[in-house]
Amino acid sequence: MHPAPFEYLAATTVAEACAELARDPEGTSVLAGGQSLIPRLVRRLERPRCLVDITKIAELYELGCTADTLSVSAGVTQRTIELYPPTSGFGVLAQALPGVGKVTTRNRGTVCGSLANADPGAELGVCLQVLGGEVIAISTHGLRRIAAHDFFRAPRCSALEADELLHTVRFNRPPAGTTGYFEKVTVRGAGDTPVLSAAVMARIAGDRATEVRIGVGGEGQSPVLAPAAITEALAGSLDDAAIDQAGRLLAAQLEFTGDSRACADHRRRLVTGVVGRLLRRLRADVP
Amino acid sequence: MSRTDKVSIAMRVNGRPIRADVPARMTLADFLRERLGLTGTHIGCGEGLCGTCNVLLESRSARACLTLAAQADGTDIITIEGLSLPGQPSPVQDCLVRHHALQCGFCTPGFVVLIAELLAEVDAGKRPTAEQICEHLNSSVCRCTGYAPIIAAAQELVADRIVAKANRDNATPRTEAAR
Repeated sequence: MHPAPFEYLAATTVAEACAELARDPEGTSVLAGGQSLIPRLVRRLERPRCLVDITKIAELYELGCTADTLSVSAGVTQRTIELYPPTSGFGVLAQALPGVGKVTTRNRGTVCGSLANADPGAELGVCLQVLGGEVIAISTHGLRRIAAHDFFRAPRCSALEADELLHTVRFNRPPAGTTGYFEKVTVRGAGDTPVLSAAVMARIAGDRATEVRIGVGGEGQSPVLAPAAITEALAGSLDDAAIDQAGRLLAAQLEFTGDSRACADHRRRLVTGVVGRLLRRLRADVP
Repeated sequence: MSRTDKVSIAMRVNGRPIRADVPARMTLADFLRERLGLTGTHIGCGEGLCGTCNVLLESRSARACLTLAAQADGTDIITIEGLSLPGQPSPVQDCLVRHHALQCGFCTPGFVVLIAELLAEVDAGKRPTAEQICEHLNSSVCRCTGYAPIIAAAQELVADRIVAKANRDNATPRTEAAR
């Protein structure tokens, strides 16, 4: 299997990559690791006229950690941040990374590429929602900051314009005293594209859990945070009745669709089960 | 540089410098097999699922079918041919044979590359658990052996490597101190 013919350009600066994107926004695709793009090209699901390779741009290899954020630029691979010691301070992200694809695809696939691909069930999108943060896009018009909760518009559609390059993503550091858990459901075990990804996070204050956040994503439903009305009711001791109620209310609000792996209704039942299990794990951390 | 459908590339493959002009859409797997005759890199699914085309790109395993030859410009590539001497099985291949870890052998180059990456991580100081060894190997699929012998071979190789490294580490500093 081979991709349809395309032209190729290895940009050496961000400005050059942006200029190429501006020339033919609809017909140009950004190539970083290519671990999601190339499979679509070989199946001829996409036929871009040109691929702009951004992996030769030195500026896009920045990876840094401050007291508040983990900042990952577009060339940084999933394997690099998985092995980056400060990542361990970003709870659900550190838990999700070793299961993103396989080690061989994480060696090439980038964090920003996974987000820009906007697969609704992908692990990193759910982590971005739960941790919060922002995405920095760049084009010939300049920089644009997009808040995490505004980034995913629809399955496989992000807030990036056709001429914009995802430059950097920033994940917010969970405040002290916060714990979180990540879990996903796959059909063919580790490394498979998830049917559903879910994560929960809460601050444990005394014998209470506060500031509960729940993020889920799966086919049809882009990564999304559970609305405050659902999570506020969970503050406190996280008893079984509250957990079950939250799972049911959340599942009813999600717009899953069916695909070859699971129907929409199955995904809704998975949400109730998986989110319930994650919240019970959180409860075990409350003294 | 401007947009082209033909790309000039230069790289090292198994230590040998290579220069070539390739179509932009040519994958690294096709380049290695068709241009360089390195047919040990197998193509199974051609879309990144099976892992038979694994090669080491800058010492890290990569799917050659999901990497464009153009993207490999300026890199160092090691294929299955570069992991043993001509006509002689490498210690990794020997161990796989002893464990009966292959039947048709189609997936074996991908696994040998994965185990080579794992052993390099051991040399760098990592101590993978049995579970981590399995997670590493789940990057490739095998349709004959059922994985158990492959995992057993990898565990033996990792254990041997850890012992060998410990012996080396114990030997050198002491003689230094003695001087």
